[in-house]
Amino acid sequence: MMNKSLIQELNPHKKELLPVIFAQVTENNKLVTQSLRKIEAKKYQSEIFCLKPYKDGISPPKP
Amino acid sequence: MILILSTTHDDDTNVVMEHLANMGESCIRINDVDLFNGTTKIYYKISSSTSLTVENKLFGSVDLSQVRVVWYRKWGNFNKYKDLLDQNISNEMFQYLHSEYYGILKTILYFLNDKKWINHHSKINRLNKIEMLTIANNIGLKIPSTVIANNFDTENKDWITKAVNEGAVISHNQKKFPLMTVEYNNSTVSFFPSLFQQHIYKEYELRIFHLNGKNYPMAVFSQNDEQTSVDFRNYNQNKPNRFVPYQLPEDLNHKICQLMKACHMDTGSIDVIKGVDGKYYFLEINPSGQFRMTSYHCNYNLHYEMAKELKKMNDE
Repeated sequence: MMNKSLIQELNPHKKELLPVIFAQVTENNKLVTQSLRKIEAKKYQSEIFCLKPYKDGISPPKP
Repeated sequence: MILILSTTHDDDTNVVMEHLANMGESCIRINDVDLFNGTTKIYYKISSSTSLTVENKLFGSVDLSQVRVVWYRKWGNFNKYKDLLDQNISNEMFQYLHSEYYGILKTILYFLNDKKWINHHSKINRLNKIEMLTIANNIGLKIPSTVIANNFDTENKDWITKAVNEGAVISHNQKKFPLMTVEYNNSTVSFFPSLFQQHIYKEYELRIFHLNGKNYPMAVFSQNDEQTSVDFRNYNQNKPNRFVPYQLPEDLNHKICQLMKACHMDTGSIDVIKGVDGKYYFLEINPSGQFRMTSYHCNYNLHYEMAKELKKMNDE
């Protein structure tokens, strides 16, 4: 079965209030973010995504 | 001191910081969302001797008057802040918070106005897609036919539609809808004004990273995969597109440098299509696009180049 477009999902009373791209685009779950680990890293002064477990010697989060 | 205005989880910032650390350069990073979730404290005193101090357990307390160079990397992602809020906030509250969020960021940018910048905020924030296309056209770059309309009959030609401002992924009913570039089928009703462009059938597309007068081009062979033929960002993870270094014709190379200068951009990623008609079509510039893809596939070492540029500006 074809995926519904965003406008079909929204089913608004007044379609003319929305951009036309809403009628063209369909669901795409391939874009769902993979579950990556987030940790705080002093080296980067930030919370970062950890792509691999314990990459670059960054300590794993405390249990 | 070098200041990087970035956001959490931006790996390009991480890698540039590694190079700066190896060079012994003093650098701090302020993530947009960290100012609003309590991670980074801010104290901005407006008086005859205005001062702005930021404090964070990862870099300590820093008086921003010490900053000499600012890299305006990727700052102002409201969605990261929005995701922390209660889902049931009213539209009025949402609009108020949205306005205050950008109001606060603007005051910080104002304080830093006179520093040396890679991509000065005042130049970047005022540019839009249509202005870029107009400048590119005036310089002599070929652009696809472009129309903004709220009622559009394509007369059987192939057109695509995309955001006038920035694409996004919209979640609705726990489903995700990527609002990137899509083919347009004639609509029978009027709609909210939208951007349309002639669909250019491509031989391949180019992603060109630009840094202070130098281009680093990469060709992306996305045309033969139905999933990536209209927008290569619909990545096919099972059978990835081929990415290879590319040598631009001298005329195109020169015009892209001219365009970046005319747009007052020191760095950015430029999208170009090589059409099946053999012509190059300019699409847009993304001033804060990811560049690790271009760097790693083509062995350009762009994070090192960026770090060198920041160091040079800081030493001058």
